[in-house]
Formats: sequence, structure tokens, C-alpha cells
Amino acid sequence: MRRVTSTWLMSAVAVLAAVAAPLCMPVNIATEIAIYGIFALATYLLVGVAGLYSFGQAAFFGVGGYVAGYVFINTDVPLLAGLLLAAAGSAAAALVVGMMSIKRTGIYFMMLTFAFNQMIYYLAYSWRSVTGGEDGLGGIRRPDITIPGIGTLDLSQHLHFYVLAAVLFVAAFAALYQLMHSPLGLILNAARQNPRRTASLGYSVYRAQLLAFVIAGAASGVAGALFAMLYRIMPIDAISWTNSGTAVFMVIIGGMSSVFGPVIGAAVFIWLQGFFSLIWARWPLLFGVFIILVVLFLKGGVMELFERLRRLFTARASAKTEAAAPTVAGKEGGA
Amino acid sequence: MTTGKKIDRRTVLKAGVAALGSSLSGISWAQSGDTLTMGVLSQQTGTFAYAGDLVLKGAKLAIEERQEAILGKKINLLVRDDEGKPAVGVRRLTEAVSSDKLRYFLGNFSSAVGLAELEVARQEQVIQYAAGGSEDFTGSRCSPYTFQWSAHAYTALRATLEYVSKTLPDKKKIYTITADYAFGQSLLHYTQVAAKELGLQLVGNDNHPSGERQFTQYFTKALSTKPDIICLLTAGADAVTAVRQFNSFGVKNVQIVGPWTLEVEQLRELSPAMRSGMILGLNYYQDIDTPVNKAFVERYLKAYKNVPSYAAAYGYDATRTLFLAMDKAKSVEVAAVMKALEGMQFDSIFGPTSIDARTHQTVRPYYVVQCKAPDAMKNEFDLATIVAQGDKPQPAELNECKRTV
Repeated sequence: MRRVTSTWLMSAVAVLAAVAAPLCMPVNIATEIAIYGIFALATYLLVGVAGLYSFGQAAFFGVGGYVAGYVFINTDVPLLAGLLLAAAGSAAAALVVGMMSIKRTGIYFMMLTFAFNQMIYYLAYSWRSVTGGEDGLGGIRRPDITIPGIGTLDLSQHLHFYVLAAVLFVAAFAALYQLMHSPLGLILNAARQNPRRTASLGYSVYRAQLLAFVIAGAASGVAGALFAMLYRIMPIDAISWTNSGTAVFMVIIGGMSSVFGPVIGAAVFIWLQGFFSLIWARWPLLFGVFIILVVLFLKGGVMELFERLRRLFTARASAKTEAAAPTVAGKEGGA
Repeated sequence: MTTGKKIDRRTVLKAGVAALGSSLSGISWAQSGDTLTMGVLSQQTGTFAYAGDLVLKGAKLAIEERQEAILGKKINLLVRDDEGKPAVGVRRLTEAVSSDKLRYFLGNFSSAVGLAELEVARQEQVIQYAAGGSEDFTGSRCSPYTFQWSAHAYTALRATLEYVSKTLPDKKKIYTITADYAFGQSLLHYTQVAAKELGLQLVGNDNHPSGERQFTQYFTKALSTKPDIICLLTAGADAVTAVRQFNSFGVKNVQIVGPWTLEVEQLRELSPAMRSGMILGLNYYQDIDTPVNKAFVERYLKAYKNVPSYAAAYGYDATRTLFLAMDKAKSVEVAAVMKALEGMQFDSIFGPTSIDARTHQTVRPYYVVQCKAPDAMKNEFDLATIVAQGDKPQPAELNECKRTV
């Protein structure tokens, strides 16, 4: 019961953040943060919860993007069907990759996911008739969505599209939070810390990890589909391994201590890159310094900064209370 | 906690507010009505950052020429780094349109980046003056909001091979070595078309992956077919590597031809002896004998102590063309300028130039140059001689643009 309540509470925070985002920044940046938020959450499920360092998530992001792009260009399927197809396509790809990768651990798992990512990248690169090859898959439409009783979201408008991305982001956030505290989440957590002991308790670590891999694949696919719709093109570099690295970076920058970490990481990563590139042409130098600072001084990512600030403020507050107390007592004593 | 005692809360708050303030000041969220925002979205970081810098240099000259204003509006030139990646390009463009009210832009001449930005330009209704090598800009992906500065691949191949067949009538057998991506394949397609028209024989082709280090196997295979010409349908660093390795073969009777293969920047990476005698196709060369180009080269030399090349000429000429269209339209509104550009006839750095109203292809000449022998060079910039030019447009039946005007 407490878990469900806390899911609602956490989701409410996510909703507040989603509502505030377009007021604080250009709506397209907010949309991309929501999309990459979903992508980072999916990566967090693997990296942070299951301890599976996947460097292949861009492959599923890409499959989702291409599936959605292809159906929205060539057919009249409604939005939700297109998104479901994208999720299903990515989940299927993740199932195949997961079945072959999860049996290896550590660096071998990392290399396998990386290799599959590269294979899928080159498949997309050469399958020009479907993916547009190097030039990307252009002309992707954004079908309108009708919500009974509320009205129609005209997704060609940026703000409406943001609403869709934000709703899916909040749903992904709530689902991940719920999943982390579900039996599956607990098994994954236990398996991350001690796979042998978990297995000896009778849980199938492989099945749990494979399920997490497929779920993360499907969520990455939805993120990819939204990305393709946002810019109306699925560019080939969105499927490259560097995009996988970006998702892992987001998780690390944000921090792995809580489910907010990847989201904060996605927001900081996207916003900061844009900001640095505005102030100096050689901006990667600034970005590099930022990453070094985070890794050296904030091992728990940006989330740790928040935690330290919170502690700093509580420390000050309690110090004040402590300092104030004797004075009051003195006054009382003097009275 | 020790840090709690060292750092004052007020300091933290002040630092936070200062950081937020400085970050907001970096982004112009709105602009007044008497400003027109144009942009150069190109690669400012990474391997081809040099090209992005040159596009910017060219565009700046065109803006300075107008005293940084057009029709009473001050020109605000934005520079954004697309990192040479399509996904980043679309992101930066969308940001610039929504935050800075960007209306016109030019930039990367990677087709992949340009074509991705084409979709955003169409959606956001802003004008793109592109310079990629892909025929899709004015073909299958043609858009009301996109104009193409570079010559069409057909024009390029036709001009280059026509010169070859005229001056070297005995050389009929061509072997092609093609970069295995959209650009290379498009050049190969038009090599086949032009060769057929000119009665040249294609005796073989090899596709090589991007970033190829070893070309000797292709040359060994090519030379076994006894070709008269080896046509390099590749670009950039790959082309430089290919020419260097071909030189080590010491073959004398095979002519190297490179339509759209080596720009001036890459030519300088080869020793004069290596490039001597090569026949190249170029979108731009500094010696083009027109009044607009002469004035441009002079101003460019004065400003940057160098001669302009493809990228700089694109930056300058595309920006200048947009200004001419604004003059013609007497407006800086996108719809009016778009209409003015369609079918516009004007004097560009290439001399008399026009823009195809339907496809938005700039109809301009393509240049064939022959690289000079080391002792014929007058100075370090004097790399080649323009030997021919051609402006034969793409045959209408090969154009895939669905637009009707």
C-alpha cells in the first residue's frame, strides 16, 4: 500500500516537472528532454537496477524510430497503433539481442550489446529502401490523436506534441518506479548485488534480466518513435552506438541512486550541450570539464548535488534551532 | 557535515542565481521587429569543422557588404554547431527557429545533415539554402522551403566527362572507384548516364567503405582491366588517400579524373607533383572570371589572407542570393522571398545564374580544372587552371521532384 502511495507521490513530482518544463525552456527542448527522459529511464532499468551495462540501447531506439517512421509515412495507422508497433518491433529486437547477450556478464555483455548495436546500425545504413540509409527517413507525419471527452490533440503543434511526450514520460516514470519495487525489480536488484545467491533462492536470474531487457527495449523504441516524430525524420546517427553512450552518460551524470537520476541526467545533458554550444564554438571542452567535475566530485551524479544541498540546508536549519534554543531558554530564565 | 560549515547558504543561493542569470543571458528568447535573424548551421567541432568556419567567413562577408542590414532591418547572424550529425542539426535548427526566430539558414554540406534539416525547414517554414551533394534536395525530397546551391550531380558529371572526351578522344575506357554511401552512388549513377551520352565505356567499378585506408587492391583490380581513365567518385580524406596510393603505382598512361572529388583544401594536402595533371570537377574555383567573383576574391583575400574555396564561396554566394531575392521581393518575409527566388535571374559569382522555379536547383556552371605542374604555379594558391565549364541541367525525366509550380 505504501509503495503504491509513493508511486503516486513520485508520479506527481514527475507531472509537476513536466508541467513546469515548457514554461522554463523552449518547448522543443522540453519535448526532447521528455523523450530522452524515457530513453534514459529504460537505460537506468538495465544499468542502475539490473546491473546490465548495455551499450546497445540506441539499436532499439532506432528500431522504434524506423518502425514508427515507416508506418507513419506509408500507412494511415493511428498514433497509438504506430507507437505500439514501434514498441513491439523494439521489444522483438531486444528479445533476440537479450537472449544472446545476457548469458555473458560484465565487459563481455557490454561488448555484445555494442556489437549488436553496430550490426543493426549497418543494417539500417544499407537498407536504403526502408530506412533512407545515410540520408535518414524523412517526411514522417504526426497523426492527430483524439481523446474521448477531451478533444483532439493536433500534434503538428509543438506544444500538443510536448503533451504527448510528457504524458508518455510520466507513464514511463511511474511504470519504472512501480516495477523497481515489484518482485521483478527486487529480483533484479538482488541479482545485481549477488547473482549466485539470488539463483540459489530459486529465482531465474536469466529470465528476470531478459524480461527487463525486453521492457527496456520496448521503452527505448517508444522514445525512438517520438524522436522520429518530433523532427519528422529518423536520422541514421540516432541509431549509432554514440547514442547508446549518450543514454548511459545521462544515467551516470544524473546519478544512479534514485529513479530521478536518469531524468535529471537527460535534462542536464540536453540543456547543457545546447547552452555550451551557444557560448563557445569549442564547447565540447566545456562539456568535458563538466563531466570530469561530476565524475570527480559528484560520484552520485547531479542527484548527489541536490542531496548535499539538502543536507547543507538541514544542517544550517538545525544549527540555527540549536543556537536559538538556549537563547530562548535564557530569556525564559531571565524573565 | 564539514562542507556545511565551510559554505555559506547565502553564497550557494547567490551562485545559483548568478549561474541562472548568466545562462539565460546566453540565449536570446525574443527579438524586436526590426531585426532579421539568419543562421549558419554547420560543423564547428569535429573533423570537418574547418568547412563550417569557412561557410561562416563567406556569409559574414556578404552581410558586411550590406552594412549588416537589409531593407532597414538589422541582420542578426546566428552560428550553431550541428557537429556534422543530422540529429544534432535538426535539434539546433528547431531551437534557433523557436527561440531566436531564425528565418533563413545555410550550413553543412553533408547531405545527411542538410536533408534532415530540410524536413525541419519545411515544417517550420524557414528557408534553407543547402549545399549538399545529394540530388534529393531538388529531386525526391524537393521542398518549397529548400534551395540548392551546389550544381546538380548530372551537371557535374556531364561537364567533367565532356571535357575528358573532347580533349582526350582516345581515352574511352573508364574504371570507377566509388564511395559506398548515398553521395558516391549518386555520382556513379550520373557517371553511367553521362558516359552513355558521350559514348564512353565503363569497364568496372569498386565500392569502398567510408574511411578506407587501403586502396591498392582496387587499383590492382582496376589496372587489370587496362582502363584509360580511373574516375574517383569519392571525396575528402578518402580521395586524398586514393591519390597518394595511386601515385605509388607509378602508372603513366592512366588519367585520373575526379568529378566532385577534391576541393582546394584537400588538394593542398597532396604534394604538387602528386596532383599534377589531374582533371577535377569543382563547384567553385577562385579564378572564375566574373565581376562579382573578382570582387569577392579580392575582399576575401584582404579579410582572411587566403583565397576562398567551395565552402567560403557557398557561404558568401548563398547569403548574397538571399539578399538579392529580398531586394526583389522588397520584403524579408519568407513567403515573399521564396516566391522571388523561384525563377530569379541574377548575376552571381558564376555570372548569369537562375533558380529553377519548380525544383529550386540553382542553374549555374560547374567547373573543370586541371592541376598545375609544380613549376607552373605562380604562388601557393595557384593550384589549377579552369579548362572548361558546363551547365547542362539534369534531364527532366530523371528528376523525381513531385512539386508543381
